[in-house]
Amino acid sequence: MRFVVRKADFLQGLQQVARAIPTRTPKPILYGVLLTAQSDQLYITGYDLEIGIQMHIENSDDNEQNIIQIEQEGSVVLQARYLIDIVRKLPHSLIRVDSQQSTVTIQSGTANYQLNGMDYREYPDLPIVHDERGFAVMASTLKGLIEHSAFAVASSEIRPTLTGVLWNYADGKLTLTGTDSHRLSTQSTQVESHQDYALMDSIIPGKSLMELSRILPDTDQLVDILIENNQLLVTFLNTRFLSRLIEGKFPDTTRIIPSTFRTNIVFSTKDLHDSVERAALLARDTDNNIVRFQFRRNNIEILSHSPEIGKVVESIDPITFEGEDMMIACNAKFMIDALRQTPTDQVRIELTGSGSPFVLRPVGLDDLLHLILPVRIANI
Amino acid sequence: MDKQFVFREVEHLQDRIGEFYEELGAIKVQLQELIEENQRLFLENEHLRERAKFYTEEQTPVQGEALKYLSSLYDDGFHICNLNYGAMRDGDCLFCLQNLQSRS
Ligand SMILES: [Zn+2]
Repeated sequence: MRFVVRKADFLQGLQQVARAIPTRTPKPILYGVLLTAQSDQLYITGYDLEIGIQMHIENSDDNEQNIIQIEQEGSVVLQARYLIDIVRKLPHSLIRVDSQQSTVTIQSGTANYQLNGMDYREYPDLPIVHDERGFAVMASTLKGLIEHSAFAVASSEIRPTLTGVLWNYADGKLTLTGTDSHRLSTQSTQVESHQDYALMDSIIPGKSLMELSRILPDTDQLVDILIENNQLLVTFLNTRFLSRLIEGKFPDTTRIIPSTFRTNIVFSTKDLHDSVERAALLARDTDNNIVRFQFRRNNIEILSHSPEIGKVVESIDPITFEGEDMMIACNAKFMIDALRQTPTDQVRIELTGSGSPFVLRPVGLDDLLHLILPVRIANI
Repeated sequence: MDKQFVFREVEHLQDRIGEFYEELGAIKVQLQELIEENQRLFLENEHLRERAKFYTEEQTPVQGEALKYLSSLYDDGFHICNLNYGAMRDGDCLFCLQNLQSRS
């Protein structure tokens, strides 16, 4: 295998693929990145058996300058960490890679590295997903859906299905839901789909989705999504992203979201976020990171106290207040997380009782909802 | 006027009237079925209402006992939701509470 590639493109590809290189694995070959030169394209692949990222570098028609020039086809696996560090520091804007037997020469300007390559035949194949079209959604929209739901998944593996985000597709609407059984976040969006496309409810690991959201561009370019053969395949630009699914049944969450409320208060998202964050400073040492909210029509206070450290009272003015006074206590982290994933300037809090789940909704954005279960404590 | 033509027209009309009759018959059967179903649902609904009232006002011993058992299990710190029934829980669980609520 022999090729010359532009440094900037090679480095960008390697950095993107590096998200699928494991930090610890019993299979050393997975520490490697698979390089494949084929016809006039260079494929770069990383795969930790959970997620796989593959991207290719090719010359575009509208760019007269050559980005890649394949001189001899072939494949090799190189230690990803070393390769990325080396490429980042190479002195010249072009890099020549030449693999003969198991020795790989990397040359750029004055630098000449000889690295030990690994046998590409030992590298596991990426799962095969047939490239039928599923549905398409804008990259920035998908990024938003993931960020607004994946943070709420369970971090412990005790209940594996809750470590994933439920993808439900019905009537041209894609809904992502994440919950750890104490809180739940869900968002939907209209998507462009091929007629008759049916998607089974699928659970995709929250961690995979976080990685995906990091490499998704923040643009309105369309991303193709397909779930097949127990894999999620997301294709955009020159990148293919694959993730395994989580097997099992996701709990029914439709009945958990309350439909009627006794109290409904609108806040400035930022003011509420900052107040809760300040109150939470003294909640760190308590059992559940608890802050208390006293929602009173004429005076709203956020309180927290730590027996050893002291106590704090935050006052905050609502924008509107409808309904009766309400006292609740909840994990400050859940509240802060939800407010961080509220993309509008104003947020509406809907409450039914101090022991019932309450809801946060971005004002003016109907399809996103965060639900939090309060903590029951004596004499709030 | 062509007598043959008139005859054929009448014959054609007769056929269509026959078809109308058949369709009318089918619709009548459907209507009958709907009326019966409506009656059945009405009765069922009334039954359910009665039972619901019964449960909210004074629960039957079995229902009460089952609920008491589940809530005491929950209060002792165990999940009673389908997700992992009987496992130790860490804080309140949305799905358990949902379960308790829909039973009470
Ligand atoms: Zn539970």
